[in-house]
Amino acid sequence: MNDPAITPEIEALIGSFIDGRAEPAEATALAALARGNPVLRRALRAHLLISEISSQLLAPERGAEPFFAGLVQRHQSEQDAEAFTRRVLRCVEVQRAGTVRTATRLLLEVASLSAAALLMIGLLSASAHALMRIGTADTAPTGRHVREEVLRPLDLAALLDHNKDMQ
Amino acid sequence: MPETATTFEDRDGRFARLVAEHQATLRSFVRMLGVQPHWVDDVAQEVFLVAYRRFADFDEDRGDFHSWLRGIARKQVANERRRELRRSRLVQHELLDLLAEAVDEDQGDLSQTLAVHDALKGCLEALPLHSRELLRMRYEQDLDADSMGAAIGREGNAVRQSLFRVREVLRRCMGSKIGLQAWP
Repeated sequence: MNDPAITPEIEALIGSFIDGRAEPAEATALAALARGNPVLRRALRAHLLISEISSQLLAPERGAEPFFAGLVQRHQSEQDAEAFTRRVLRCVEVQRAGTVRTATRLLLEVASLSAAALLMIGLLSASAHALMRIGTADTAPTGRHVREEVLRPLDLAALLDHNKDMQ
Repeated sequence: MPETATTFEDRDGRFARLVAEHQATLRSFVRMLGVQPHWVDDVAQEVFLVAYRRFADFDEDRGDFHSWLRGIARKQVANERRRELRRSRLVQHELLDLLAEAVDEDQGDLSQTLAVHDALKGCLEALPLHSRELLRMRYEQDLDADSMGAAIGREGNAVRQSLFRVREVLRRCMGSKIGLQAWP
C-alpha cells in the first residue's frame, strides 16, 4: 500500500504540483512538509519523473519526432535571424560608407569654393590697395583722374607712368 | 585549422546523433528541475540550441555529453528562475530549491536514466486497463484532473488521488525492475 507518511491531502498536493496547478500557498505547504520528510521528497521526485516519462510516451505531441521538428525549426529560425541581422548590418555599413563619401565630396566642394572666393577677395584687395597707394602719391587728383583710375584698376604700368609724368 | 564544409557536416551529424540519444533523458531531467510540464520541451530545446552553439567547446575526451547537457540545463533553469523572481513578488520557490538540491546530489548516470525510461515502458504496458485509460486521458488527451473529473463524474481532487495511486503502482513496478537504489 501507499506510504503512511503520505496522506490523501498530500497526494492531492503532489498531484496539483505535478499538473502545474499548485497555488503558491499549496506549493509552500508542500515544500515545508517535504523538507522534513525524506520519504515525501523521494515520492515527489519519483512522481515528477513518472509523470514526465508517461507524457513523453503517451502524448503524441511529446514524442521524439515532434521534439526534433521543433528543435530544427527553432534552429532554422535562429539561423534566419542571424542571417537577417548580418544583412541589416551590411546595409547599415554600406549606408554609412555612402554617407562618408557624400560628406567628403561636399567638404571638397566647399573647400574649392572657399579657395576660389579667397582668391577673388585677395585679388580685389590687392587692387584696392594699389589704388589707395596711387591715390596717396597723387596728392590732388582730379575727379577725372580718379574716375579713370577706378575704371582701369589693373592697368598699373600706365598708372605708374602717369605718376612719373606728374612728378 | 579553419573549419571546412565537411567538418561542419561531420559536426552536425554528430550533434544530431547526440540529440536523438539524449532528448528523452534531458527532458526528464528538465522536468525534475521543477519546470512546468508544458514548458519542458521548450526548455530542453533551448538547452540543445545552447549546446549546439557551444559544441566546439565540448571535449568528448574530458567529459560526457550527458553531464555537459545537464550542466547547461541547470544554468538555463537557474537563469529562468532569476528572471521569474524579478517579476514575481510572491515566495513560491521553496519546492524548486528542494528539487534543485536533490538534482545536485544525483550523479546522473546515463545508463541508469535510460534504464528508468525502459522500465517505465514495460510497467505502463502491465497496468490494468482502467489505470491505462486514466493515464491516456491525462497525457494523450492532455486533460487536467478537473476536466477528467467532469468527463467521468468525479471531483478533480479524487482524480488527482487516483492518478497518484496509478503512479505509485508504476513506481513500485519500476523499483522491482531496476532496484530501489537506481530509482531516483
